[in-house]
Amino acid sequence: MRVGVLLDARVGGVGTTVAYERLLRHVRVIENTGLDSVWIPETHGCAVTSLPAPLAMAAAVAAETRGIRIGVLVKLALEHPVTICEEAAVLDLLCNGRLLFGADPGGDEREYAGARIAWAQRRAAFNEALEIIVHGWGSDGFAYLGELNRLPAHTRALERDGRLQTEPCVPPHRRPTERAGLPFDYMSILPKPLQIPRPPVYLLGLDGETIDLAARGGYSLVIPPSTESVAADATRYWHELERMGRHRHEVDLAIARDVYVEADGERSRQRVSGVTSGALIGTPDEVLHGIKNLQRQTGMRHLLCRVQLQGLTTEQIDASIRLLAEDVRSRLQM
Amino acid sequence: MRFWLGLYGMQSPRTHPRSLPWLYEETIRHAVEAERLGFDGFALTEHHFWYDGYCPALLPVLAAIARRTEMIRLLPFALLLPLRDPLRVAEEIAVVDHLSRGRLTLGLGYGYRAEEFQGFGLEKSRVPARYFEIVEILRRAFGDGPLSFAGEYYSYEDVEIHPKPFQPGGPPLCLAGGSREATARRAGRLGMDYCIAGTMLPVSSVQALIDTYRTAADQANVPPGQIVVAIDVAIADTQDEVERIVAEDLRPVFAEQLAAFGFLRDAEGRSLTEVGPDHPVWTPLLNSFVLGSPDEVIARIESFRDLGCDVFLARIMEANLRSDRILREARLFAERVIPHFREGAGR
Repeated sequence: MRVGVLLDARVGGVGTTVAYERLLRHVRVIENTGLDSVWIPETHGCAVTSLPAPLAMAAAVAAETRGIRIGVLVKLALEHPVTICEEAAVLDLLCNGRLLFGADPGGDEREYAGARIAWAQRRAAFNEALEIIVHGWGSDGFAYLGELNRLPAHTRALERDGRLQTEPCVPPHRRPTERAGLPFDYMSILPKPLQIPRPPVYLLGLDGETIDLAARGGYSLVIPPSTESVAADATRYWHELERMGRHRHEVDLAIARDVYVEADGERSRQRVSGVTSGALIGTPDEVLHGIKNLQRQTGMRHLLCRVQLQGLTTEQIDASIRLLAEDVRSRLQM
Repeated sequence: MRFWLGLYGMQSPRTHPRSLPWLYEETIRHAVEAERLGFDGFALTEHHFWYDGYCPALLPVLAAIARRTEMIRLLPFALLLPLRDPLRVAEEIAVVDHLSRGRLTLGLGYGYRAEEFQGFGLEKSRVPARYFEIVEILRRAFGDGPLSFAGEYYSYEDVEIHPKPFQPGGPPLCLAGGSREATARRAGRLGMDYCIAGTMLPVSSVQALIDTYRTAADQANVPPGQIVVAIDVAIADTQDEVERIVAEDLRPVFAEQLAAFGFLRDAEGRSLTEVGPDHPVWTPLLNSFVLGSPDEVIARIESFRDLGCDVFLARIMEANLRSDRILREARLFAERVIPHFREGAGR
């Protein structure tokens, strides 16, 4: 079992700069406690504390830390897939191969105002982006044809069937310096990420379709904090994964929950408000018990704790993170 | 006059192959050192789909540098603007501007490699039209409130980016790299800062571009922005050492990169894949470099200052991250060249 923390910048009453500073302060606490991962989701819509560029924030996290894994949850449909592919690869190099790449198929309709694709195309855009990003990291040369993307623009490689072509190996090999001026039929997105064969890919399981997509593609899954049907979703994922002939150990199942730990259980429950129904709130023993239950019901491998809950000060959040690491995680079987 | 150090592209070329994670780590270390030495800015350069790993994503790297430095300005020179989605790049800029507490100055380039456009599914045609639409969208996005815009390539109705950048109205926008008269005129008319890539250009052309820029700003009745000149520099105490830098780094780097970019063509119009030591390109190239002892470098930079240049971007770093040599040159430049221009504080 790994334990990570899901952070965002939604802090009341401060400006953007301070909200971002606080996020990074939590990051330093989290790394020092020895927790396993810190996750940065993409958020829009709040004038002050939106975090619309999670990969840029993750690069700042990389600069502030040395060893902890860095997760992101990127809304793939909102940005050009090649841009995301490049930025994530650069980030993986910047953080020495610590990236966990989460893909978020969500977003509400307002977020798509001014986006490069229409709201109705979001599912196709997500699916195509995922394919392009994964091939972009892994392929020396590829051409791609989808409903929304034709890459490279003038490729002649797609006259054959199929939406994805990889560059055939035609001797003699040309040196890079001999390619200038030749037709650009296949593209190679460079640099490649550091991790081999690629950074772990997680899909945010907002719906059954995404859960199935994750299982079929051999991707890991993040179940969001708002999900109430967590046991059913996990079962669906494991079932579909096994049906595809894959093994559970190829992937990770991460479940995000609202978490707050304090020595006094009564007081902890009075302090926080506005939490989701599956929240884990209480003493280290109570939270440990809750995690073990969740683990039994779902086969969870990785708990993502959303710690910035309503009613808590920055200091209380840091104290909760420390207790979580020292009194809870240490008693979970690794 | 102000001085920027550049241009770091995190490349691992055939002339000096290095591990990519090391290049990123080392670049951050150079930024920290540049700040300590008293450079005013630290500049990165971007290209896409390039065999040597050339960095295609500058803003995340600058976000990382922002967390290790305090004062130095952070410079993407340049973001290839037409390849980006306008509102998404605006949001990413805003995030990095907050992470650096307002230290971004944006070099915005057209991009010129056809492959880069095609790799994003775009056409390399009428690039300036697309570019200037995005510049206008950025300006409106960074201003107060929502934006509306109706253009040929992009249209928006009442959309707003969150957060707005740290710097009120957004980071300074600098048109980077265009060395055509029409580009200089356009930058002047819009009151953008203007960065001239001086490598390969004779000084007379630099002067003509600056004049064109200022005249255009005057005619449009906008205050002119700052003028940046970016040029390759090799600085050392002895002539021998300068020659060694040229022979070991600059010549091999340019021979490799010029061939790979395919800028040079033979009589039939085919891209050259080898650039021999006797190719005529070497004369204007080497003539444009700022080479020599600190005194010789000062004399060259004085001539740019006298043309009206506000910032000198010393391109000590050109593809090969030969770390010791670059830091030695940067130190010499900071200790012997920069103070000379600080004393003339009247300018």
